[in-house]
Amino acid sequence: MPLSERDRARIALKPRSTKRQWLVGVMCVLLGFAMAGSVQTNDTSGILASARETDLVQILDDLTQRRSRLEEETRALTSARDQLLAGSADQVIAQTRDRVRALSVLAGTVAVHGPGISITITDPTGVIDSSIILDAVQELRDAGAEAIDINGRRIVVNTWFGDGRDRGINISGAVVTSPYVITAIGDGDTMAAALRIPGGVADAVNAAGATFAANTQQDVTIDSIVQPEKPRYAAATS
Amino acid sequence: MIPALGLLIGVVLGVVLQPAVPLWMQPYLPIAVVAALDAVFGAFRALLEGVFEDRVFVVSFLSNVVVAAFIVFLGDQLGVGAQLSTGVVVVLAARIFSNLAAIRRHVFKA
Repeated sequence: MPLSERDRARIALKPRSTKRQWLVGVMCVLLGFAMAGSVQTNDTSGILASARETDLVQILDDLTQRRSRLEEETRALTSARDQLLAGSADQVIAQTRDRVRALSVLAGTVAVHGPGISITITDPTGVIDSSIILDAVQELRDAGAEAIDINGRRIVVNTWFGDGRDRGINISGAVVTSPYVITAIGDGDTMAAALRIPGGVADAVNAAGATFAANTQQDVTIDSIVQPEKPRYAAATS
Repeated sequence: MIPALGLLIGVVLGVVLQPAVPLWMQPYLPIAVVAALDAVFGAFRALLEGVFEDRVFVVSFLSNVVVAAFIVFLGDQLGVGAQLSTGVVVVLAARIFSNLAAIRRHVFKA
């Protein structure tokens, strides 16, 4: 009579003290022992102790690459830190102040003094027009003038010249009349020489019938300033 | 009954004694354990199907363990030990699952 599966299972689960049952039992003891041993080994000795040679090489490679990446990062960060330390806040502020000062002189927003030249053009008959004054300004700029003033009007980058209604010169909307006193700060001798070249400003003034006088000075002061205008169209890119 | 008790005793012994597995055996022991587990599940399935034989179990157990360990050893010598041990584990795990499925069908009829 064939046994049902439940019967078979029941028979199997019944302890029978045959030799073969014991053999199977001993093998199962070994299996359990090995299982527990493997688990213990895995737990305690980490990965490296039981890793294969190729795996170890792989791990070493990974670590080496990672270390070189980190070293690179360290270098970048160190140089960034050095730059920040070198350019400390005080120094940055001081540099910025210097820059602002230089630009203020160029823009004509501060009063300045220094060695320079004082030119007086006396024109009682009104023969001097704006082109001669403009020539004089160009000549002075070419000769290295850093600040120019005409009759209390600071001459800056956007100053314009025009002729007055019947006499005088229109400087950016304000009419000035003779005598024209042009004060410029820079190398006085160079500027004087530039104005006196043959066919230059001095000759032109004299030829027109006015008088030209220039004397270099150790220290001239330009008090006039202009109010900087906020640009309507141009925006700084940085 | 005796095999089940034996398994339990072995696990308890291993946990209590905490045997130090020899270094040369460490890559192969886990594979051997998985192979032995495959043999055990196969034996249980055969038991339920009424075709269990002690001799077959002993031979399959030993051969499974030896062959699995040998394959991994060979892989190590060839430089593909990691991949080959993965392959062996996958195959054995698939066999264990199919044995388990058969056992489940016998026990639960489902």
